Amino acid sequence: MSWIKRPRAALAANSHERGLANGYRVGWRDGACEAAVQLANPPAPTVYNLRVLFVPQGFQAIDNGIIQALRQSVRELHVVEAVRMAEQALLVRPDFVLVLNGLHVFPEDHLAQADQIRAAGIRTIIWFVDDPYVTDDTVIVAPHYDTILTHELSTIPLYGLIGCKDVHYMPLGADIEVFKPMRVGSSHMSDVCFIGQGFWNRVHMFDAIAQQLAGLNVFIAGGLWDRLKEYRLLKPFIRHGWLPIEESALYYNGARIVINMHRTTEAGSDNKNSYRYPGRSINPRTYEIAACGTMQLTDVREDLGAYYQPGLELETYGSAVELADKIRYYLANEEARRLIAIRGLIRTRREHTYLSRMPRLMEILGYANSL
Amino acid sequence: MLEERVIPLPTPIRSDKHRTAKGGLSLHQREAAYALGWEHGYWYGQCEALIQSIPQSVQIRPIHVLFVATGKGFPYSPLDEAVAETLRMFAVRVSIVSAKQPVAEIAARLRPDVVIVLDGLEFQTTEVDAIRREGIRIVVWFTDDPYYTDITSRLAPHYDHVFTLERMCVPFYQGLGCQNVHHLPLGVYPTVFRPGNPPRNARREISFVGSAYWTRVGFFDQITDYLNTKDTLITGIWWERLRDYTRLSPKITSRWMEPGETAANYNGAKIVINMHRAHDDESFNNNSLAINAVSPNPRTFEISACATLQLTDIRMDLPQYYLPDVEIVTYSSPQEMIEKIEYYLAHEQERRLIALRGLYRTLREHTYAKRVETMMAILFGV
Repeated sequence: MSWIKRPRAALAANSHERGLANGYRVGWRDGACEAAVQLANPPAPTVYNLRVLFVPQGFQAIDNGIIQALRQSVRELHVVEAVRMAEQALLVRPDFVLVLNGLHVFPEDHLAQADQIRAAGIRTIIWFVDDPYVTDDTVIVAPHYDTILTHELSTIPLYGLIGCKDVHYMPLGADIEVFKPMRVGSSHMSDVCFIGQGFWNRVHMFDAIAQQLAGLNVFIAGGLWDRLKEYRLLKPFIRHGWLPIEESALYYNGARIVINMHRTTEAGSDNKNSYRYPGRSINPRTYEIAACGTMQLTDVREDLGAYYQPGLELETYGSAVELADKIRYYLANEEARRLIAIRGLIRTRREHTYLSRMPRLMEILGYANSL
Repeated sequence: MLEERVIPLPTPIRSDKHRTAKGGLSLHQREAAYALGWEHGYWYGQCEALIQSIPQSVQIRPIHVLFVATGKGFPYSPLDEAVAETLRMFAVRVSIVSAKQPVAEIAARLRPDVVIVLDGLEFQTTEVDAIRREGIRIVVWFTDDPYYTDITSRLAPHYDHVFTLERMCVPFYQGLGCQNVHHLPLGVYPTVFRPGNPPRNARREISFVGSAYWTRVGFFDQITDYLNTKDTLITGIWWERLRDYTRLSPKITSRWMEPGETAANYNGAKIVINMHRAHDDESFNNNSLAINAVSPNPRTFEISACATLQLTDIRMDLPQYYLPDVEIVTYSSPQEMIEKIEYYLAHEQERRLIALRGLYRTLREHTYAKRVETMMAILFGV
């Protein structure tokens, strides 16, 4: 009977090795992320002697990240809805009103309210986070504010051109309450993950690498993906519609590689950017993906190098061929992949949280009166 | 800093629990394999994240260093390599020669900003004098003090600067008339000595690496019975000097190891014992003045760089390098060694925490990069 035992023993050994390897992979990430979270923390908050009124945009990750950070950084924080911003500002009389983005869901009388606050002698500040895709709208909003902050380098001269006096570059960050390393179940696991709308540049890129993706475990979430030429091939991977950010964080965590692809800045159906301002700055997703301790493959925006070291803390691609090659390489090189992921996590927690942006924000705004 | 915390027990994700076991391995066995893999992965993931969290900032200087390697071959060649490679991080140009080459002639031709001699026992003082006559600064870094002070005492006065790894030798060289004497310990070369994930058959409870100097033999003779009951590995030469050598011999490997192999050995052990050489040990000792040794040996740094629990005897200056019971564990008698081995084999989480803290301290403060940085600041200003 020994002939039957041998293959079974070999199978058992094989299965044992697989179990070890799977355990090792999961354990490595758990251990590394836990240690990184312990070791890499944002600097302790500086508290400023300010009363601040914050008006959120409805971009949950950014709104909450800034609210949490402000709460730890100013003496008094009031968060109010856009419909009541003037009423509340006149009541509270803050040192300044900070409005996030001021677009989309903001009420029709938004600009009248901004004028009213300003007329009462209260400083008004708007922080644009959709530049340069919506410059047709922001040029209308901006002149109603005293101070313009934008996360996009390219649009700074634009606001100067239309007469704004106080314009500053102010990068975004990650809300690490939401975007953090977590252990997820198999339903959130993938080899490659992309979350975002199917803008045309993205659709073209995914069409170009569709054949390679077809053999992998891929997760794509967002709207407009039926634009794909290779829709039938990629359809099993696609989850249509908006994904809540908590869900996004789970999928980022479960992925081996998360692709980040900035929107095109072309004017047209996807954009309100008839001035054709280029995109020079990275999107908030860059920080959010890295904050989950997952390797990110991103296209390059001009200021990327100021925030992450390509090849060390994340990876970049400049074409469909390079994207496909790097997906192949990093799926085959577990060690290289996970080191980049952990370095990206450490850098993000140390330098790119909203809390770590606060001293810079206050300095730009001219406040030095920390408590 | 790493805080005291409970390392969670592995709770494997059982995505396959509804399936029946295939391939002759029961579900229980597969889960056990997964859990073991998780344990190993978790530990090395922690180590790796800790390594990656340490900022690497190196100031490269616009200088030309002529490095004179020991010229002694193994076991000094890894030290030569570690220091040479580290110097490259700090100087735009590094030329490397051996102590056996005509260094003065080369120096006169290359005109370096400084000549750094490592160990210097094989390097002729006539060469040193010739280099100084050329107006080129020359410094030595003694790496075996105080064991060869009978010889180094004749070498030291020829140099512009003397660096010694042994703090007690600083006043000694000063007493000989040396103007610039500095205490500069050796360190660790983290490219070689770092945490790893050794194969399962290379994992042990206790490891000791080193030659059987007589003081060590006297100590080990008292714990032979205990070590025999443990998963122990002793690696080094002369261990046949042990009284009960035949009984312990299955646990002894008699040879020198390459640094990479030594690192793997440390990595595979839960506890690594360090026992300093006695300053008056009679084997190969050229320390007739019996200068005391108070600084920890280079092995101290190498063991801790592998993120294993180091159990060491106490050199007077040890607490300046590692905090006992926090970053390292100490013993001062065979009985205490046995008690602490028993304790840390039974308290895995405490063992790991100390090992991680030891790694952290090592990489922040005890690398060759840190030592060379110090040397450069002394020679060229901050």
